[in-house]
Amino acid sequence: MRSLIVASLVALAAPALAAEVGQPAPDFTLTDLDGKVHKLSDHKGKIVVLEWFNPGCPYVVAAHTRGSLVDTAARQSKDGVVWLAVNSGAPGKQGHGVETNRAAVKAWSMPNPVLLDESGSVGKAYGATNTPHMFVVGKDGKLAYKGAIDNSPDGERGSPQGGVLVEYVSAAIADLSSGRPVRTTQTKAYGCGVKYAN
Amino acid sequence: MAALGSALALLGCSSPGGNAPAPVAAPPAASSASPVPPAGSRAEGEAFLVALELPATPRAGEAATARIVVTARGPYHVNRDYPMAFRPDAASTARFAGERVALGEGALRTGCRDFPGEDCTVSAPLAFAAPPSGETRVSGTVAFSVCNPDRCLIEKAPLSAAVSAR
Repeated sequence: MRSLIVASLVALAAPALAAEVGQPAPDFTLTDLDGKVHKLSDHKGKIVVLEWFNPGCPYVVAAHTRGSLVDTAARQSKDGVVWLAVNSGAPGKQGHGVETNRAAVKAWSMPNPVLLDESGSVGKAYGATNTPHMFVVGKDGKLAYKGAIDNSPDGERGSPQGGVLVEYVSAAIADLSSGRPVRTTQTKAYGCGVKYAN
Repeated sequence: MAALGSALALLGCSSPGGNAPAPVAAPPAASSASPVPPAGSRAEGEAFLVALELPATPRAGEAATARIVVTARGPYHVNRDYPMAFRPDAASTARFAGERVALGEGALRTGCRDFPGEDCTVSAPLAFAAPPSGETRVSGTVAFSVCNPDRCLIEKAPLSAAVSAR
């Protein structure tokens, strides 16, 4: 019942039309931990990965220390992919705060910026419900994938559904890079709930 | 042994994960609750109590079933979305179907008193084969998750218990 209540609250908080695969990804302008401004549309022509992030969430910790987010951003960035983490946590909530996020960036050697979305408006525009919750935007600016980082809902690649690990984000990037249709465009994200203000 | 294979297969074992942490030493035994399982077979935290319950007298060399019981405390409930699993360690004399045993199949779930839509206790069967002789020890780490309305916790609880086979 509590899950239902939480899910209902998330649904009420989200806009009527969250970002849909095949449609233009909602543009946004956010600042990172150093105050640098990032605008999604500035990256048109490149594949962009958005990773909803909360350094206090144990699933995020697992994914960044033992799971499918270890070194993935660095590897993909070398191939020209733009990787942006987005923290939609409100002030006072788990994982909020510049120093908290800075510590995680350092501890996990994250090469990508962490963008702050304290109002939660960007998270809600995308329909981000979990951390990690992954979105892949194609070179055409359209959303190509949304969902989980992989099919192992323990966050550490130890429990792949069906017995074979599938890294959905890497697979989507590979498909986009090869000009193929993305085979899996949507999955159910797992992890903590995004710590929106309301 | 074929029976054991079937029993273990029913539990849905999967291939071992490559990045899981090594098992850790067993914690001190915890306190009071009834029924009391064998010493050293419980671990607890603010949000949970987890117990390993062994059958009283497994037959030497034959298949048997233990239970792993996770109880959420306070405002927490057991996270159904998290893949509960048992990872045996080197201290086990019992044998398992793999290096990681999934615990979802056949679990008995008890709803929370105030929130019956959530599970506050999950009792999961853990199939094993007793050794041909000597003590049967089941030792390893149980992975599970509990959540309250604000946050989820991922827990790795080391458990170890032993009984004599007949």
